[in-house]
Amino acid sequence: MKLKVDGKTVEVDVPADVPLLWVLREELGKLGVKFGCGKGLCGACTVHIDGQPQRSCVFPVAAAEGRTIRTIEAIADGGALHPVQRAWRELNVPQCGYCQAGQIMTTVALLEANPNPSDTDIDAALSGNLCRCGSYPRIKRAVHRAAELSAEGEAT
Amino acid sequence: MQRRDLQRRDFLRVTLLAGGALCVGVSVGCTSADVRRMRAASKDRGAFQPTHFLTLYPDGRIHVGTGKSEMGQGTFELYRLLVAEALSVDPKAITVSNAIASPEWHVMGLQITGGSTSTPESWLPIRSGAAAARMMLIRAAAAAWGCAPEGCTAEAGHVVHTATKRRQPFGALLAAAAKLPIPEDVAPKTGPFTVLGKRHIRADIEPKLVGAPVYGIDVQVDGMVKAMVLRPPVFGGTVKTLDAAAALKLQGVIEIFAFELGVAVVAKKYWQARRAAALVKIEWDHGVNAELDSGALMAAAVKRSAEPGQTHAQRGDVDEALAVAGERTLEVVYTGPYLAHAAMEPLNATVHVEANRVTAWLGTQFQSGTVGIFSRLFGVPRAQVFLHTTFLGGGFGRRSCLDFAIEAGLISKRVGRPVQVIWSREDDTTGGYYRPLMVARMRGALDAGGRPTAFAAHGLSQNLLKFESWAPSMAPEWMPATMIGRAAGQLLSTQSVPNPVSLEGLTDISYAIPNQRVDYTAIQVGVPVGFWRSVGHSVNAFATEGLINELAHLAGQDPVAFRRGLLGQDARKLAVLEAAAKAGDWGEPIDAGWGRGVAVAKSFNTYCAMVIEAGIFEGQIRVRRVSAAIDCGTPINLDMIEVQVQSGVVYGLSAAIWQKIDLVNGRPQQSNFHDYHAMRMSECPPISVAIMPSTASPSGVGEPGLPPVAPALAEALYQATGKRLRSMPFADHLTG
Repeated sequence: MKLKVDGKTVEVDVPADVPLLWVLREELGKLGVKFGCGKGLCGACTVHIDGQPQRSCVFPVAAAEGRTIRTIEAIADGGALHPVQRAWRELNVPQCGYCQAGQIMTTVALLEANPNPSDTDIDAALSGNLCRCGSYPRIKRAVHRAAELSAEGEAT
Repeated sequence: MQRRDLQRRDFLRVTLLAGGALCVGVSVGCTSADVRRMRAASKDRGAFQPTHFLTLYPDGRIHVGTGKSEMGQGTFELYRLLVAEALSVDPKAITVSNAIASPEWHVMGLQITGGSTSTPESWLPIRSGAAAARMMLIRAAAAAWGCAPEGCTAEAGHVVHTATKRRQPFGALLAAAAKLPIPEDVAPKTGPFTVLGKRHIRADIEPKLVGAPVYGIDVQVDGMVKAMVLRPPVFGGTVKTLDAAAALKLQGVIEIFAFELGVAVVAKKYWQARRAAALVKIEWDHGVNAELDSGALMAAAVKRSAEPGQTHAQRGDVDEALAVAGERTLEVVYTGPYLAHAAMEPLNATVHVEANRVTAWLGTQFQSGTVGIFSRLFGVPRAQVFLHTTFLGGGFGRRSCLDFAIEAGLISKRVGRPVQVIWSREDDTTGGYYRPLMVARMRGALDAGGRPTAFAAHGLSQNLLKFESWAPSMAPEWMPATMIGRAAGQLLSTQSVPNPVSLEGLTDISYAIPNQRVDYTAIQVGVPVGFWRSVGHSVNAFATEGLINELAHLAGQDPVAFRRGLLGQDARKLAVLEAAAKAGDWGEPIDAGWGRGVAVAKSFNTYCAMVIEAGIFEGQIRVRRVSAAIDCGTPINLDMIEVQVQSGVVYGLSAAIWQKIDLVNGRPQQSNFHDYHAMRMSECPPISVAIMPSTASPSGVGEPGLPPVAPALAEALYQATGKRLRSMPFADHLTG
């Protein structure tokens, strides 16, 4: 089957029910997409499918055929970090970093839908992304900062 | 892991090396090996490497190698900042990476990360080694200029002649510096510091923004195959029968076989191994733990706690003080269940066992233990074990166990290829090496004036100091296993080995209570246990601070004022308590349904206090604010301290409110995040952290933010609802 991943069309030959996560990691080498729980409970595996955040560990690869898949590895535009990534850097968000690809993916989608989210909006959007290092207070500040940076980017 | 390592190393020194005082840190000495390495680096690469951890390059790059594992707690950043300060360079000029495991990273015979020790262990030696490099660069410049080194200084990566302002970048001095003798025991500069004590963006942030860091699970090695393990559902079980016929037919499957630790399913890809594993049929011999029930175990331990244990510490006469106090006494039992660590990255290991060497890539906290056990298991000298440490997606102590490395090694040996074993979340949650189930029966007494006269604790838990399981990995290669077993057995049988790990947080409480006693009884049961963030403190601080809060109420006193009266001898503990109380608006009115609780604890030489605001609404515990204060000595990186305390608070709240591992018929009942709940963004309160200024020697921050959490929360909930919670998880008590 053909998949459109990070702007490229690729051919994979796997059974239809293999989770997209493992196709991305093991067939396409997208190791930035992380395995955390295998049951859609932790959000570490979050990718965008047609712009929506999805848990790739419970998304069968066949259901992704023909759709636009975007991973953490394509969020930065060439060498330029996305405003969310810049905010993450400015506020020193990651600790172990394992959950952060998923946190960033969810946040990018949140800001595309809601450019100025409240704390409650952020809670609702990001509560599917677990962090065992407890970086939530920093993430929340960084989402607000990312909203500011995005707005500045729009303005210029 | 925690500072009990120092005592463990001490025991080994006594038994193996016959004496010596406990020493902290290591002197970065100059051996002929150091000189040879330095000369070789200069000749081969034009680089200057005066010590094992520091290399300067002619283009201005500076590289620092570390033997410490980076699991988010900031060891990379620690090393970078210490070197930057001592070398007088911008931290941005420095890159950090994990060096291959080797004895040059040993501190008292171990290469291990844990116990909040990286900061105190590194403080002097790393700065001293970098200071020696700085001195050599200055001497090289001074020699070239024909002036005295005393007239020169180093700043911003240059040597500067103070009087004339002549300057040379370090990069131009490397060849000359590498010809100089390496000074020993150089005292690093004291404050005021330019780099230390500020906020810094962490060294390893760039890859963590773009999904680039290589964790153990991301390792790729030529010829590697993947495996998952079907482990016995009951700890200690074995395989009786195995039917892999259907599974072997699946695409990509290479081999399926029973081995010491279960059944290995080996395939080209992990997804192929998982599909095959679902078709494997196994009959297990569940073994001796098949009837294990953690509820029954807890009840038995609580019952046993009413009888005396083995006294490990005492002062005065507790029994007399309790008798004299009559009604003004309390006897309460505090408990905590088995806990999994639940790091975000499930356990995994990549190992290649060959006839004469072993190569491994994994996120381990215990490099020397892993090297040692591979050496013993596979019959290769330690010098032929090449262990590459990756980033860790969380450690919390679970990655200091050797089990997941041993498994992958055994499978690799059998299949003759590099093997990456990946654990599912279910494997990880049910795989053991838990924080032990812990009970602490606490007794206290007040005099007529409301001052405590007695503090007694009887702690019960499985003994974490099981020498026989890890001693072989650490003993010298020449020492036969039987001798190690005898030495370990002797230490255990004398009963003279105190158990500081299981009792930490009950002893050394520094409250001025004249009669104290701490007893211990070991729970003997076959559940694999390990070090869980803050170890003994994780329940014992709950018990100690819980008793103090309850005694305060019995005395009719405010819990902060009550403690203030008892901390005359511990100014640092008192100061951090006052700072938290102030930050948390202690004593101010609070809205209906909400309560404030306070606790303070010293763990791993660091003091931490916090005020928590919480309540119970519609059957749910809600925490709306945490105000913490920490005294970790000289602060190295204000940003890292703040986030590590926040980290300990979130980890501690998850455990206090929701987490447990129940064992029923020997089987762990929880398996994934739906039933082993970890705090989510929407449940996380604002957490403020006040960092006490200090010039004391720095202590660690990875664990100390955790112990005060449960007692402060329990007190807050008591203030809010009148309900006193003494066993974790608290949510278990909110029925109806």
